[in-house]
Amino acid sequence: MTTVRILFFLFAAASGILALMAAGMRRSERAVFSMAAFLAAVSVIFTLLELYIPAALHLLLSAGSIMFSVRVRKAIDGNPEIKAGHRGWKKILPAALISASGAVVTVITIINFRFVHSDKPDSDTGLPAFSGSIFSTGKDGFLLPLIILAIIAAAALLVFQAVKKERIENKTVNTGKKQHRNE
Amino acid sequence: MSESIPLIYYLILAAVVFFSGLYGMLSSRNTITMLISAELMLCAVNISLGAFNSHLFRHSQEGVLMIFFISGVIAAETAVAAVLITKLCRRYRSVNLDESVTPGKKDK
Repeated sequence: MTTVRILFFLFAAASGILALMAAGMRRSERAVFSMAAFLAAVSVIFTLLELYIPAALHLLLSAGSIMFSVRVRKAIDGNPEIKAGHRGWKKILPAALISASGAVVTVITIINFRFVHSDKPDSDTGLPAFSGSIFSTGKDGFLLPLIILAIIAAAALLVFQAVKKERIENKTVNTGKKQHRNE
Repeated sequence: MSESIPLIYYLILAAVVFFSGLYGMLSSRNTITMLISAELMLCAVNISLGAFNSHLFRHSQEGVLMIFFISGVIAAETAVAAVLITKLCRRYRSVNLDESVTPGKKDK
């Protein structure tokens, strides 16, 4: 067994278990944390497929999930009674049966189906040409402008957060001054 | 690298992830868990698109482009849902759909 195979089975098992945990956890913040870990495991699987841009995207989504979990934590703070509202086991039994039977049927279909590579020539227009131009760095490529746009957008977000924080602090100081004058 | 692992393995993983998302969507009444389940289903689509692109159309980028778009949809959906859930939580002190959406229960 090669290293790639071992890595694949390890992370596939991890992502399957984490997906089940994210869907079935009773506490919301744990579910969101499982989702973040699941997205990180999926990014490793994309790396094994040699698809590096989707891997980076899923890592970003994982970071976004962690930020979301922080937000959930803040929303839940002060109200510890909030829990995931699972129904009783008798009520979720139909959902579990539907999901399990669907999974079995899909896996059987996948195993019995033969996937064949298409020998049709690529056309110059349409989705292939569009995707080719977006993800290439050549003369007609748009990958570098996309990366630059993403960096500018990230910088704008950081600056916005900093300005917002500063404004809130100034507001607090001004309110303090006003209260002092009134006194 | 991906040649050593058959396509079927990736598709089975995608099926497992998709149906665990479906299970979460059908069984839970919590808005956060329902959002996570929808994301799981979209991620399963991403995995299968990536596997198809890498195994069957190795020199083209259509699958990557579709993954790009679907990831954008996931991010936008999460951003909108985060705001909605926070509002819901502040208004009804609950993220449970049964407690918050039932008319006349908390609005009185």
